[in-house]
Amino acid sequence: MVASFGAPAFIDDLGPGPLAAWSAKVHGWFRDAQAGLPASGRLYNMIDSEAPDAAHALIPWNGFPRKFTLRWPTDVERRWQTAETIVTADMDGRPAPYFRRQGTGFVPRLLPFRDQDEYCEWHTFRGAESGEIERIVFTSENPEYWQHLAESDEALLLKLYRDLISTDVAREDLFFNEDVFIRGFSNGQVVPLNLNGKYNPLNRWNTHNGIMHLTHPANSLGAEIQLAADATVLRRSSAGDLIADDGDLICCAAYGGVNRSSDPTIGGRINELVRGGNAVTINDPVGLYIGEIDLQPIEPPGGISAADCWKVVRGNGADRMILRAEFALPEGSGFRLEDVFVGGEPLRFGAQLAELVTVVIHGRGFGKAGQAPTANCEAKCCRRPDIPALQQLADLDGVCPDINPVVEVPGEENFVLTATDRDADTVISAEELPNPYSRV
Amino acid sequence: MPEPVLRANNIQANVAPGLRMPHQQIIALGGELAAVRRLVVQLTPLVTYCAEAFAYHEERLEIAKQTATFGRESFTAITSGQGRRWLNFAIGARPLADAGIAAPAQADRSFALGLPARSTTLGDPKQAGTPGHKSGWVVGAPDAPPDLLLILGSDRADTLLDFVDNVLLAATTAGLQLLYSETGTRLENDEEHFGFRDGISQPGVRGTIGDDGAFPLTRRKLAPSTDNTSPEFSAPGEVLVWPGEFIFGYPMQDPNHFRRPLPESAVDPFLVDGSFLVFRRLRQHVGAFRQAVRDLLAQLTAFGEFNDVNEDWLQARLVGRWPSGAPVQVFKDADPRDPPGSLDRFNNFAFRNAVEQVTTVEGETIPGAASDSDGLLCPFAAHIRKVNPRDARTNFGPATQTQKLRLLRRGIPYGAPAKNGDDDDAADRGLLFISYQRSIRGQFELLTQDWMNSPINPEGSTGHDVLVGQVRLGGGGRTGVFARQSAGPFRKIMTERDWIEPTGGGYFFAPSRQAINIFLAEIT
Repeated sequence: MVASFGAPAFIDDLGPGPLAAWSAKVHGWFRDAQAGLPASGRLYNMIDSEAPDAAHALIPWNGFPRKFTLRWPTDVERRWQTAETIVTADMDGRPAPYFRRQGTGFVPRLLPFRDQDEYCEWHTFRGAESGEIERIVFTSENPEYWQHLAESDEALLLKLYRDLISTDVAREDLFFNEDVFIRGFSNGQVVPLNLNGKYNPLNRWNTHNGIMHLTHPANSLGAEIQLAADATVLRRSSAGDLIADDGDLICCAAYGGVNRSSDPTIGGRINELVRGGNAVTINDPVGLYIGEIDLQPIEPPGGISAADCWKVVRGNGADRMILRAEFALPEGSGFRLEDVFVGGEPLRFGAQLAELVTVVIHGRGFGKAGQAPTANCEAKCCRRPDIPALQQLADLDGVCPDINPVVEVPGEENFVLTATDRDADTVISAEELPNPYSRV
Repeated sequence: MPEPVLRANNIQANVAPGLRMPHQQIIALGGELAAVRRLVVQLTPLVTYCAEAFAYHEERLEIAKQTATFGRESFTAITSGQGRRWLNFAIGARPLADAGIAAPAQADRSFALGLPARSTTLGDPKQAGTPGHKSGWVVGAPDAPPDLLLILGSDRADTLLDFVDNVLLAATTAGLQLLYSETGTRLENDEEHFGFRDGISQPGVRGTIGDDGAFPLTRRKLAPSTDNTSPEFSAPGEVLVWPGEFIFGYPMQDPNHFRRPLPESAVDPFLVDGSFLVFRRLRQHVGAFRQAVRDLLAQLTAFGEFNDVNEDWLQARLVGRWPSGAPVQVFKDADPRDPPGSLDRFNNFAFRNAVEQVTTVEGETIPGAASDSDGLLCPFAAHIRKVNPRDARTNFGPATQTQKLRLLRRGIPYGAPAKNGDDDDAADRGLLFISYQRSIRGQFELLTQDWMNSPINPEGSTGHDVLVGQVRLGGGGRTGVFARQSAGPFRKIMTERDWIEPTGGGYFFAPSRQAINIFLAEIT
């Protein structure tokens, strides 16, 4: 057991008070997730319970979005470019869940984010004039922590942005100065929560002009805890058999993104531990982490080693708890990053490095007697007719669309990036406001 | 969906079902496009295609079954007269580009870049002068890229020698430079030089042969199962995979379903029925391996719970199989040596899930195997688990995705086998590794770079592929992780020795009969 939850990677940003408040938040997310499970639920948190023989389970997945690799298996250039494009809606057309008022309802307030949905994001800093790469920064820091930091210590927030991104960062850049709404709660009711004056996690220094923490709407710690909770429920197929396959599980339980490397892997491993008779949790300090980068394919010029260029800025590599890392040439090297070869060709995109990154969470479990909760399926997967390698969740009683045996591949000329603003005019009520940190 | 009828007179035989000849010669040639074309014109009538090899091997295996002869001996039983002269070839990126044929380079970026450029990605040394660095390769070094790779095969050694002479004469007459020529020979019991039977596990390629699709390319030793969600097996442990994973122009494996095909996108005519070929000449330092095993054993036995294990036990865990090929997951304590029945006994296991006993269509009962999700029987770092995690999830997603990282392995050993006690001999011996796949980048390279050489992929805290991995020295060496119980303790052992030395290779495209004609048609 632990007395409190540490900050991600035990980073020492926070004083005792804010750190205790962070612990309380994490504890609260766990308790909320546990409360959503039956009494026999197999999710525990390390403050309330623990067994001395609990074992560690490292769960790894690739940092580059699987959906782009599935979509463009041979067109490597296109998937690199697409993954680095700042969007206002992801590949499936979903915007970030921020809204503005329109009449008595709400319409999306389209904000920028990275369509990098494997709990690892990166930004390629380029010179304003030259366009040359100056550094490539990776993060796995969850947005809730930065929200908390903004609420706890505004001066520190600004200092970190200035230290890590740009001295040009101004306070007003980081906070909303307009009415922007998300889903909130008051007295048990869903109410619109106005963020005007609050921290803007999708501010320009964390999107177009830099990177501080995760931005994709699915990349959040709260969502990760909820995924872990949902994955502890064993699932039965229509034939009554326990489902063991990771892909079948996520389609059945709908606990995450079906086209990712991460969610099926995390959920599958947790469910496997529960099937094996364990209670499970996420290890303290609870977080999402960069586990490693494979430096072997990277060949800098002039006798510089790849290790000289990869610097862990926040967190630590030895425990596989990297929060922020930066790839840059040593100061005064006299070379450009475009002189670095990755996999036999010049470095031109951060995505080339992202393909070498492994992201992890640190699971934990111990043997627990009794029957784990079991449920039937809530959804199923259908193939997307336009891209059959990709799936989409569907109602159990829905009919999956037909798939043509031969798929026409769009040519260069008529290709349109699918991230669109198509939902911009859809008006919804306050009750329909989605959770800002959804998993799918 | 019915399995596709393969265009068996259009696909080169080494792609499927494999030349499999006990005597093979690998020849690399370089030269101008015109010279390449001159030789290809002469080689065209000699190329062996899938249909011929399929018919031959079906007959050979039938005789082998009746006479209980396996491996090399099965070729002797069917050999008559002069012996067979089989030939396959593949083309490098340069002559294709010179001929204005862009499709292979567009289909695989790594093919376009070439093996020397991708060498460090595979874990090869970065420093020139280091053993294994590309600058010192005996074939495929950056300054001498092969334009053609020939694979000659025969059931008789003397026939092969004569065949090689004829082909080399034709090559020099055409104006090509001989860059490399080496003989590969299947060893006793199909062992590789460390003494382990190789090639037991291959994907079962779906597809049929014959006008009416009467014959499955891969023998079906098991009756079809009705469960539509789990993998389908052609033989115990042999998962059926859609042929588009290896040959262009056919349905691929759906990344989200074990049995469902993925519709094929429109394919350039030059690619249809062709396949990418990876060639790696891997020198094996047998003495260094044996010494390293002794060192690793000393590290492991220092942990009390492992003080009862010996060199044989540890070697088998590094491989995942005993020298006979028997999997440690099934045969935990000792090598049974000969399989107690067919070789299928050595392949009916998975890692995450228990496998049930099955009975083949010929009536042989093959016992099942327990699951090993914690790596207690077959360590996560064992070579066979690293390169083929079977039913396991990986860092790339669910187990259905794992089926898309399979290769058709066609390698053959070279050099004389080491004798016991020859630990320090300097003989050059090793493996002429050859694999066919749809994507060099998405199959061969991914499992090499991202699985074998990683301490945490594909299954978690696994350690490296200590046997074959190429993690560079100075990076903490290659580690293997062992445990007796699920909750640990997890014991890590480490070596900085290298006993596999890359000494050459290249990336090529094995064209179909039709594509060869396209290549030659460009002459006019």
